Amino acid sequence: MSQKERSRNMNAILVENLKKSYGPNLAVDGISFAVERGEIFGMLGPNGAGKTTTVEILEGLRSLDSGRVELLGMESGKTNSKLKEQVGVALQSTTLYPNLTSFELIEMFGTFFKKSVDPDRLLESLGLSEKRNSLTKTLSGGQQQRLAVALALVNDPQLVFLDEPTTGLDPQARRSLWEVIEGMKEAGKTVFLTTHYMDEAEHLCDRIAIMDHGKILAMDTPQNLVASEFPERAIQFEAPAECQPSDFDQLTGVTRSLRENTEIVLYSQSVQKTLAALMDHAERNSIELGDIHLRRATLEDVFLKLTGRSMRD
Amino acid sequence: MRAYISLTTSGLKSFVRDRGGLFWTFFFPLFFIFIFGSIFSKQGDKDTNFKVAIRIVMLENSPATSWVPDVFQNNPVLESTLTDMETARKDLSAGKARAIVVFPKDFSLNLLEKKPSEVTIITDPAATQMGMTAGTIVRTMLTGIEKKSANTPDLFNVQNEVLQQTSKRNKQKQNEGINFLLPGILAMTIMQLGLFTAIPIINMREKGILKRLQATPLPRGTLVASQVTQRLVIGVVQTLTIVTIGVAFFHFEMVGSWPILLLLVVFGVVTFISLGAVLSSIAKTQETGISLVQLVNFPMMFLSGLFFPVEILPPFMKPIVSVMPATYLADLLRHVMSGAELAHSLPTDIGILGAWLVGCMFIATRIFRWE
Repeated sequence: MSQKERSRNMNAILVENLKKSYGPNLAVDGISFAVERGEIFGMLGPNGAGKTTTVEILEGLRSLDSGRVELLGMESGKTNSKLKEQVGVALQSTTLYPNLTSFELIEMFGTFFKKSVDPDRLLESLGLSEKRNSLTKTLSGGQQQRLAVALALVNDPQLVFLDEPTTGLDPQARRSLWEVIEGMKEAGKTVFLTTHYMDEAEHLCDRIAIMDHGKILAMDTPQNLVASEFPERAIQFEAPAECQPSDFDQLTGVTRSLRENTEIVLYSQSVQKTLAALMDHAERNSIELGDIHLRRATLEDVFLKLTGRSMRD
Repeated sequence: MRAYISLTTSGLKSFVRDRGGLFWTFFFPLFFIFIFGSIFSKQGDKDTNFKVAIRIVMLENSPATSWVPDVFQNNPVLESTLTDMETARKDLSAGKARAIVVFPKDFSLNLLEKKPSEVTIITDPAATQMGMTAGTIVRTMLTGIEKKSANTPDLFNVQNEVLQQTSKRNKQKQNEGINFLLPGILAMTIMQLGLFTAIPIINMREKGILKRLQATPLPRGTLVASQVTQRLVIGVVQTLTIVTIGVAFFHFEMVGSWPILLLLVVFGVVTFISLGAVLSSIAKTQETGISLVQLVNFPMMFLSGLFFPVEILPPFMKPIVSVMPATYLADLLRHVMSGAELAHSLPTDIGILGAWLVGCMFIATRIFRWE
């Protein structure tokens, strides 16, 4: 076995120079990345970044224009049913077959695969046992999301795709779904997820790719991403509306500044000096500063810096 | 196979649990039967006060037997007319008469010699119920005559005969009232069952269900086969319901063969499913899908001769009528169910329906969108 082959077999996902365009729009512009087996890999990006297109090509739902996609050492493709046996997919919440019960739906999906998990065990592991005989249209948003995840696991797949699994869920429901996803990792599955939530990505993902305009802008562990993109810390304070962020750019140590609602955020590599300069500046110009606080840069800051957009835009 | 069975049973389960859909699938055709059927059976009520029409044919014109027509004339439930054989047969096949009683040439001679005479009762096999009634009445009367003429116990030797050339039966009777309406309503039901397949397909596409299924190893062919099977099952149940209600409440006379009828139902459902699949590919959203289906459904409902004969439509509509598949399905159904004469020829009916089937399938496979 050659070195290259061995490394390929280590990978759950291998994407090389993937391109896809719709008419004149280049949705995916030559991206390459690899996801190791057993990893939870997150893909972040604003709407229209090319995330969904990428994921759907990986899931075998769309054809690619050029490049190569390999999943679990197999060539990916729309008709590769051998591969589909090993892959689980949870699309964004939709009520599939509203007039079937949770059990019936899982049981039916099970028949599409050569091997399938016992529906009751699956329902139990997702905390849906008491909803076993409820029609799926009567389930709450969180329960439907969990059912979608259950369907993704019905064939006990090695590789699971989750498309924004916790969007629209209350914090408690999100937490419980996080536990399920962590359970997948413990079971040795590879998880590829897209999300809108930075805390989710930070909490769950071993590695993250930030995507915009069809390109991957950065890819690393959440910690490394923050550390490499933001050695600075953020100084945040309330300032009168007439204050411009640029007013503070000249202060010692400030690398970037921006306004977030009523607050101004200054990123600084030397917090102590910047704070002193800020106080001095406020004193001299008689600016009323309120609620001054310090925080580490977060993934959200990284995202904002790289894409110029906030996550929920 | 496992996937096909589970998809099909799940689909049917969903269908049965969807009260709204269930209601429309069965209520709509039954509603039409009851509305139009009640109108027709009002006319039928007059019929029950009517006497049973028979024709009497005397092959011998002798004064010795002239009392025979009078005896029949005096029967309160019979309306008898003395006529010749040719006219009698025509009337029988046209449904104007229910039975013909034929007295032989040697009738007066036999009377003299006190020998039994061969009397033949001819009935129409298609109009079984009325024919049997008429036959029974006539036979009872003949027995009565025998009893009166005590000196000749075996006055008559009754022969039963059925009218030949059933295919030449005038479409007047087989094509009137409920016998015209019911096959038309069945054609409408089959048409709508097929056309409205477009809506769940669009729904499955809009909601991403088709996409979700594509992420599984489920072959597309299995999905299509399961959808068609579900519709066929529903179509057969609808057919049984409609015919049963027609027979039970509206004196519908099902003269044709059930296997051929069911075969025809399958043919119709599959044809209109293909048309529905084409429509589902054109419409992007469920709303436009419903409009599009109705745009096709309504003209066919009223211009294909489902409720009333196309002859009453203005001539400029004839070209539209003659391309609509429902026109030919209704024609075939009337022929098979009521024994009505085909308005078109069999090859025309099957050919045009078949052309729609093949054409729509061809287009559907080309333009069908899974996402």
